This record gives sequence, C-alpha cells and structure tokens, in this order.
Amino acid sequence: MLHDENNEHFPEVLRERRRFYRETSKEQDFWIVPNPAFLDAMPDVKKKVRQPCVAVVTTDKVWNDFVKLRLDRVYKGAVEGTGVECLKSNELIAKDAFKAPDPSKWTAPYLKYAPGWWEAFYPGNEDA
Amino acid sequence: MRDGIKEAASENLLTPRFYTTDFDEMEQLFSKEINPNLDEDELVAILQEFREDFNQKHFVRNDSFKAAADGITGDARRIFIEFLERSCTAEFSGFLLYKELGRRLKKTAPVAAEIFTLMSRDEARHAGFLNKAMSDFNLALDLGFLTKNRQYTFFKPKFIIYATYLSEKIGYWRYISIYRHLQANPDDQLYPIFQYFENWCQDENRHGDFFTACLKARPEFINDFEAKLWARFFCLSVYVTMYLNDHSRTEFYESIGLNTTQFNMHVIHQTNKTTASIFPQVIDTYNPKFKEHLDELVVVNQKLAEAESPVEKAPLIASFAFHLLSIALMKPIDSGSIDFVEDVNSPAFMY
Repeated sequence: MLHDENNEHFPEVLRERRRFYRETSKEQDFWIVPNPAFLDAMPDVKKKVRQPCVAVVTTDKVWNDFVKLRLDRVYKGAVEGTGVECLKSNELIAKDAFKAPDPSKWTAPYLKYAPGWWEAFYPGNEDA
Repeated sequence: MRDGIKEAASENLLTPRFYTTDFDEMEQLFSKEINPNLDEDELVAILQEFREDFNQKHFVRNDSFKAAADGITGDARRIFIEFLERSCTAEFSGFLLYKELGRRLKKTAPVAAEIFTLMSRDEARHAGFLNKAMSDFNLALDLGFLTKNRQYTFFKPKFIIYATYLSEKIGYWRYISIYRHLQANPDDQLYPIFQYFENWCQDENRHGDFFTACLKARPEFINDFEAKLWARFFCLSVYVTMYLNDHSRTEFYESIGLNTTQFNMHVIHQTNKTTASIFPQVIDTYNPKFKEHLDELVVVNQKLAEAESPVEKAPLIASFAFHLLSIALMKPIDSGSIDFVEDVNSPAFMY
C-alpha cells in the first residue's frame, strides 16, 4: 500500500484529512502503524496478512469503513486496548524499504511521492 | 445571445454528455423498505465523507487569475477557453443529474438522496469556479440555456452507475496528473486554476467511491456475463473518448508542458487499475494492440473530421468500428472487489 503507484491517492486522503482537522480544530484520530504489535495477539489475522504490513488505525469506525471502501484489498477489523497498545509498532518501515521505480518503466508525467511520506502519520508525529 | 455570453459548443459524439435515467428504478434500488437487507455501511461511510465538506473553503479566487488570463493570447487563448468550457459543461452535467437524483430519492432512499445532493453541491462549486474562470476571458456559459437545450442521453440506472463511476475516477486521474506535473514544472503553469486541482480532484475520487459502494450494495449489477460485457464497453468508450478528444487538441496539453499521449496512457492505465477493484472485467490496457488501435482511431477520427461527403465518410466509419471492435475483442482481465471475487476465508488467500 505504501509503495503502489496506483494507491498514491491515499497519502492525499491522509493529508487532506489532517488539513481539515486542523482547520476545524479537531484532534487527530487516525495514524499509520507499521507492523502493528496488536497483530501478535491475533494469529488468525496475522497469518492472512502479508508481512511486513502496515495498519491504518482510527477511532472513527465510520471512517474505517471508508478506508476499506477506498482501498478494497485490505483487511478490516477492530482492536481493543489503550492508545499505546493499539499504536505500538514491532518495526518501523524505512524510507528506503522499497526499490525506487525503474526510470525506464516510470511513465507518469510526475515523480512518485517522496519515500517516507508515511512517517508524518506515525503516532507521535501529529504535528508533522 | 447577449454580448459575452457564450453559446454552448455544437454537439458531436465526443462532447461532454448530459445523462438522465429511470428515476423510479433508481429509487427502488436504494430503498431500504424494498430491500431490507441492503448493506448501508459503506454508503453511510461515504456519506460521512461528503458531510465533512473538506473543500468548503477551497474554491476562493485571487487576483492572479485575471492577469494570467490576459497573458494568454492567440491560438492558446482559444484552446484555453475551449478547455474551460468543456470542463464547465461536464461538471454542470454532473450537477444536474445528481441534483435531480437527490430530489427524487429523498423519501424512499434518504441516505443515497443525501449523497446525491452533496455531490451536486461539489459539482455546482466546480462548475461555478470554471464559469468564473471563463469570465477572466470575458465569457460566460449560459447554464440556463444549457439545461434546457441539451440533448440528454438516457441510461438505465445500472449503466449510469458504470458511466459516472468511470467519469469521476478518470477525472481524478486527469486532474491529479496535471496538478503533479505542474507542481514539478511551475513554469508551465499558465493559469492559476491548476493549483486548485489537488483538492478539487479529491471530490471526484470520492464521488467515484460512492458508485463503488452502490455496486457493492447491489452485487447483482456486477456478477453475471452481461455485466462483464457492459463493464468493458464502458471502459472502452470512456478511454477512447478521452484519447480522441485530447489528441484532437494536443496543443492544449503541450501548452502546459505535457506530452498528450504519455499523459493519456498514464491516466488510462491508472483509471483501469482503479476500476479493476470494482468492475467485474476491464480491458487489458497494457496489451500493445490496445494503444495501436487507439492511434489508428486518432488517424481515422482526423480524416472523419475532414471528410465532407457520405461517400468519403462511410469507409472511415467502417474503419472506426473495426478498431473499436478489435479493442473490445481483446482478451479481457477478470477483476472485481476482493469482497466478491476472492474467497477471503480460504487458507490460500492473503491480504
């Protein structure tokens, strides 16, 4: 999801949402959690999700449904726990975790979003 | 016609469409009374996105518009006006259709009705913004005249959903591609309207998501052989229409530094990948034959525009049909939402 050219609408959605929350003085309630620790307690789910993986975590159930509608090829579920538990990562995803696209095969009239865009949505980076 | 009021351009096969549909049937599709099992979760989710109204304050003009418009002269000016006019007409046609659906569905399908009304809000905003841009060029589209005097194309609800889904998603990919190209090449930014495209096209993308939710709520629309044929037909007609339209005015795209063919193929590939997450079948846009036929169609289309007599036109029309049919008969790609096409409970399936 972080690297797919066709999913670059998703960082746009997150940036738009962050901008809107700031404009309306609403506290952020969505994050990107790479390799979430909460999956360790859900072995049945974990074995169905390719690793490494990334979770979009939100306290807004309705928006969660929207994320599933938009991204389609994702597992949608729920997790209970404290904020710290639900937002804990086993391992971060490095900026250079993905190979840069082969320039001879890159045909978009623009460049990819800079790798690591997801870090701005890690827990703790709400002011990024 | 009053001075400065532009009469709508004459219509042909490639002008923006005005759609109408069977409102009674649409009403039944999304009525909870008639379909007590209608799964509304995703409809409610997209409704909430529209209610937020992310772009309420986005479409505010500044002083730079008029000066930029005055700086566009000669042939480029004519092409620019045509671009604004076509875009405004397309947004306005969306406004009319969604507005009417919002009105007609209010009693029986309140969730869908509110969504249509909020989408018509977005389209009205977009059309109004474009019409103001036209005023920078000392023109305005007479939208009242357009409402009354356009030919409306009738499609059954199922097909309206296919057609509007594609036009919203391709609209997103067009606008975001132009925006991101101009971000990287600010010298090509001839006119400030493009700076608004990033937020603007998020609206189009969400509109498309609503039609995804419609198709998922009524899976009988996408699960049989006929649906697959229609899905491909709409992909084909939307991609070909854009390719021919844009290639008959390459000057416009070149004036903002884009290579029309590269831009179009990118938009087609991405729209097709997006569409594959809901339509039951799509075209194989990476099949080299696809682009070969598109390029042939451009040549035939150009000749058709120059042909005068029916005798000249007939073989060209036949050739046009041949290339269209050739694309339609290419080996398609089976596709669809994973919720429908995959057995997510099978041990072999991985997200």
